[in-house]
Amino acid sequence: MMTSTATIGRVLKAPVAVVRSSPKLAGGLIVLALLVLTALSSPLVSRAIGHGADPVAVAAYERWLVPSPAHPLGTDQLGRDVLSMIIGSMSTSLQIGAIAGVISTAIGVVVAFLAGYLGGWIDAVLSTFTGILLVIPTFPLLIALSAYAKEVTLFQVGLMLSIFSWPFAAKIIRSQVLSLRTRPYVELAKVSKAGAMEVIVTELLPNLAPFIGVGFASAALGAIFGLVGLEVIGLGPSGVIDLGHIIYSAISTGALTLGAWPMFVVPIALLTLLFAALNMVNIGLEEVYNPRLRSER
Amino acid sequence: MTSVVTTRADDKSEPNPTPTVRAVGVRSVLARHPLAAYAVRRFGLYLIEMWGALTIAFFFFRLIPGDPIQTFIQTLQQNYVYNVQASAEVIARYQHEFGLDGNIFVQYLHHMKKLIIDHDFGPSLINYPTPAQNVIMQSLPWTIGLLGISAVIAWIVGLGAGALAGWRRGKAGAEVATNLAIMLGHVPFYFVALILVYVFAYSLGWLPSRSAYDSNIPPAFSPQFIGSVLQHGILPAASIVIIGVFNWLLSTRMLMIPVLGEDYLLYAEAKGLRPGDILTRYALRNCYLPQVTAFGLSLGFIFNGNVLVEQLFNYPGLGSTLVTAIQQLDFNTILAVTDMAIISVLTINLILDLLLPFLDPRVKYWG
Amino acid sequence: MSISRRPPQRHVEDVADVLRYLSRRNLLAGGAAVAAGGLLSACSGGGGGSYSDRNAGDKGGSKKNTMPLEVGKANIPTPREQTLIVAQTDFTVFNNWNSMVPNGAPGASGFDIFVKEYMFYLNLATGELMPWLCTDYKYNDDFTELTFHFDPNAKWNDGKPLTSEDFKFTVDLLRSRQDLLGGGGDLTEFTKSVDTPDPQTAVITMTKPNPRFHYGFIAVIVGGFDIRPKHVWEGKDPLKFRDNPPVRSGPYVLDKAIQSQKMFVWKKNPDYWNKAKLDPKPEYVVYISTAKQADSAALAFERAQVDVGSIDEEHAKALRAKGYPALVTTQFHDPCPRALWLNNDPSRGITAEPKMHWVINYLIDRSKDGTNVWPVKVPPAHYPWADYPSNKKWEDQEVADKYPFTYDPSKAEELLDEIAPKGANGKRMYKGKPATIEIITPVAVDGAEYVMAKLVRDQLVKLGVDATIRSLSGSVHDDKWQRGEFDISSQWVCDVSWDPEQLYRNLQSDRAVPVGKNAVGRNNVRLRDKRLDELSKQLANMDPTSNEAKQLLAKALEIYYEDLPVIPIIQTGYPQYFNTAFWTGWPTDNDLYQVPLNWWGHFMFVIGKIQPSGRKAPA
Repeated sequence: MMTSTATIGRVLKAPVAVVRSSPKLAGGLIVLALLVLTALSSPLVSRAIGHGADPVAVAAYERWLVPSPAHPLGTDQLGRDVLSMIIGSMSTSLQIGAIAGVISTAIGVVVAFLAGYLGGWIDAVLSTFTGILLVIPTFPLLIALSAYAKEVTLFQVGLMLSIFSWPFAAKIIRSQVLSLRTRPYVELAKVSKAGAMEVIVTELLPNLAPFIGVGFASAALGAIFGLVGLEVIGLGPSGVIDLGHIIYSAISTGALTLGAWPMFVVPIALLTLLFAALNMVNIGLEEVYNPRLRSER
Repeated sequence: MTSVVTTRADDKSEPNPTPTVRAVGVRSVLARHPLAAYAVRRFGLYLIEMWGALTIAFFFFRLIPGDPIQTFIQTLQQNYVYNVQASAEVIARYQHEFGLDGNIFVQYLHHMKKLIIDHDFGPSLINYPTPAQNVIMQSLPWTIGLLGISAVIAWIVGLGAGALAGWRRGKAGAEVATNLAIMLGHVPFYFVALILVYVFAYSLGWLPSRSAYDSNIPPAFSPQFIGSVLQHGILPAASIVIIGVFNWLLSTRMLMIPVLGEDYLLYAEAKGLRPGDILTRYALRNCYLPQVTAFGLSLGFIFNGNVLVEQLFNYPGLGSTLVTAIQQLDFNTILAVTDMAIISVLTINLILDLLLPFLDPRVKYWG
Repeated sequence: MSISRRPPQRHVEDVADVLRYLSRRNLLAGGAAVAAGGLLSACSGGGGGSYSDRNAGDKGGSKKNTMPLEVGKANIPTPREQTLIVAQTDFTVFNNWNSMVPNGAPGASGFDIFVKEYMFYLNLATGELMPWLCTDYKYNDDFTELTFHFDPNAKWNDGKPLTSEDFKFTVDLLRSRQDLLGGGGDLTEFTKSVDTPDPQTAVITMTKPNPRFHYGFIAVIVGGFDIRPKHVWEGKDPLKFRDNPPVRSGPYVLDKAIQSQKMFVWKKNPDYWNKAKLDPKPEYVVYISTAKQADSAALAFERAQVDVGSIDEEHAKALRAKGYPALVTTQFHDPCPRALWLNNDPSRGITAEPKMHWVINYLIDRSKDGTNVWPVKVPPAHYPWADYPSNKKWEDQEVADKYPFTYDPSKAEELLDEIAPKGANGKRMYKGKPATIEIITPVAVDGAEYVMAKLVRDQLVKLGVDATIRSLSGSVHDDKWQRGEFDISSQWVCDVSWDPEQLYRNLQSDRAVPVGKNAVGRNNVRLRDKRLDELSKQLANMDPTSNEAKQLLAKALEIYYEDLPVIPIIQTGYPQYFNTAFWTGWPTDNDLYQVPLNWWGHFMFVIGKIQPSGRKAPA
């Protein structure tokens, strides 16, 4: 019987080694960390710009001010400071992505385990269901869902998106569960009278962890993708201001022709960075488990 | 004297051959023709997936809180501000017209029957009383053109680029391309569209930013019209192609690399074949097959992105129709577009899967 | 009383519903950007100035007409110099001109403007009543018969004459079919029979006296009564017939409707019947959907690829600052002043108290609303109707002076202390319960109506009343609005197009349904005032311009001011934008000769007055 600390140590040892071995993975994680830090600094930035007042309240300042020391990125059509708005909404975007990612991964893990471990017709049904959701264009469904989700909270948005992003996670995890199921050490663990839970936690999860990570990154990516897509055409759920909404404001008020390009360019750049980071994490993890893919001699 | 009818084969066999009983029955027929068995199974899966997807779509739209039809009915009621009596009649009438009477399962059966047997999605709202399927027929050619051509071009170019990137692994060009693809591969189509529109349409004015063609030129198969269509289609197509190429590059490269170590490539090199030939005739041939399936699987995703690209470019395709229908809560048209997209994607996947055995004799799809 | 004018005419708010679908109301109504330039809250932080200032060079000065005009090639199938291009809403219907079914004829497409013609036009800009298809109308002495005389020259665009037979056919069709949009309503209620003694005369015999029956046949707001040609419509199923191409009497006919370009092309009818009075210079008129991206739309205007519309106030400001030489901005007051509707149902607590209405009235700062909140400067509204010349006769200075509308928070506090004094816990109590007010509005958080209501709410909170404000999307707001589940709704008041009795009739007690039941647009604020009911009933049968009626209207106005079921705030000014690169002669603020709204039937006369500028289009 292993002690719990030793178990935790074992569980953690693998991920750390993994990160260290892949520059892409490390790079992606660093960029993600930077973005998260920036988002967390939102209250500081608000205080610095607002001097006590809320810089993103409607009509806080004059509208369409050019960038200046007081407003590094200017103000928007409602007189809100663009910089604090962007950093605040980045925090929102990240939270939504995280929530959708977590819920998707949870659902994905459950589905994948049921399908992979139990096999048979359960597997057939679940796989077909997952397959359908992955193949068909789900955007119209997402548009319809969000069109009736007005005045929703952040959590509800994440939940809504996870309805369509869980298949990404499920597919990745299931294929790995299938291959792991027949590995010798699982059989060995069974023979050594370890319970199913212990088998899962001590043997399967550590080996699955990177795939769960990939699943999470894919699901989060898919969720934010879909959300920004909705918002850019103005059909996003209202009540939550995130980067996609700012881009939509910029498009619908014609910010570019007014000369207010920061409002348009900065959110796009940030989102591109986020997507790139998530992608690097994904690819980095895949390279770890497929060393031949690494770009080395 | 016994007359024995013999065949040539019987010469070799025993003097009194027992006639083999050829079992009859579907199962055994299929057992003897594994390819047919595969086709039948795949087709069965197709039907199940189709039924599942159409059902999901139907219930999805109906079960969302804030029923769109109720809103339409409310709008009708508003129009009858001075005439409450009539509104009750009219509402009952439109409920029947739009297939909304009865509980949800009755509605579902009614919808499926009309869809499968009559190929009718019911009257549209944005263009009442034109049936929804007629409404989308107008926009369908534009989407097929834009989406189809972009997707295929992206696939071909991406495949080639990916093969090269994998083939020349380690060299500067390949690595730069790969890293670029990793960074930018997951940028949404519409971001690219926004940037392209701003640079080429607004600032430089080289290419138009909306419409599918110049209305000065009457639609016909003339060079001017086709030229105008191409000119208007470059920016929307580019938005899809650029990102598509990056993604196909990455996935092809990932398939190519394991192939690089295979023995037959070493043999081909030893034989003295030129690298280019080795690449195309041996390496590429062995890694493009999964990409064929992947192409089919990616169509749903491309359609998603296409909706936005069409919106941004005011391109008169299915995506624009869909967004308009949603804004006006035209339930039948929304369902028509969604179902059309689902059916197309599933059918193309079916066709590709059925073609696979002919493209790749190695793989067993049965047993 | 109002005839069923809403369905056949596209009331401005119905078009606005269409526009709202795209949230493009901003583009055509002149700006969603509100944010009262820094005056609404603490210091602005300063430095830098705004983007349009920067373009102007120095703050305050603007270079007039110095910017060179770069004309781009317009995407139209007709010669540019002969074509007027109007940018409008998103069109979805291209092959149907039957407005009796939902989404039948496309609105704001040109059809309602210069293809359909109306019997009379009331030019709201000048107050002039223009007979057109008809020469005059007459009532008999007791208002039970209404006679119309038609112009003998009137012709349909297929050459057949327009006669009273067509009129009779249309009236009979609409009043007998309750299932048609525009059917039933007052036509059914008041029409006993229509007789046509000769081709130029139609006599409507009414079931009961109605001195206002003619309102429904005159184009006041957006449009009027649409006479269908009998020889085209007879025998057709009005629910299925598409009427494509549409046969009407106007100076333009349909050339083509191009779905993939979202464009309608109209060409001049060489055989138009009223060329002597109206001979427009544009050979073609094109109505096209505005680009959905504001950048694209503004650029289209800047490059003169559009003559009317397609630009919003923010971009127009930028163009003016740059010295754009071809922009004409014309203001016009919408028929509906912005207003707060207050719920009178006793179940709503303190809002039902009439004195509370005056508390709220004293908390409205109309000059700030009209200067800083509304995108363009507009005057305050003292009456619940637009300040058109034709409405001047309803203004009653004597009565208005007795009830001045001022911004006076201290008076408001005094009144409030009378109704709902502060309790021991510091909260205001009304009839034993805490005083709360729920404000709703159908516009978005950046809309002027929202901001105006928010200012009132902030004042209420300062005075100790627990007030909340919510912006609800169209159908959600409408649901609460009809069911009376609100205390205050910040929107607009549209009841008065002819005379104030239209408003009073709507507020009659017998139209008030309990809270929770759908009011179907009648007496949403559930006012129950017997005195107003009395006066309204009497006024119903009187010619409103008679002396008798005048006295009653004065009394009714007093009661209205006492009750204040709806508080008018400001006149609604919408700027319209015209490009003079190819066409000049637009109505301007100095010379408002006609209603400048391009989706109203009256716009036909604007098109009749514009002249080509002589500019040649780029090849």
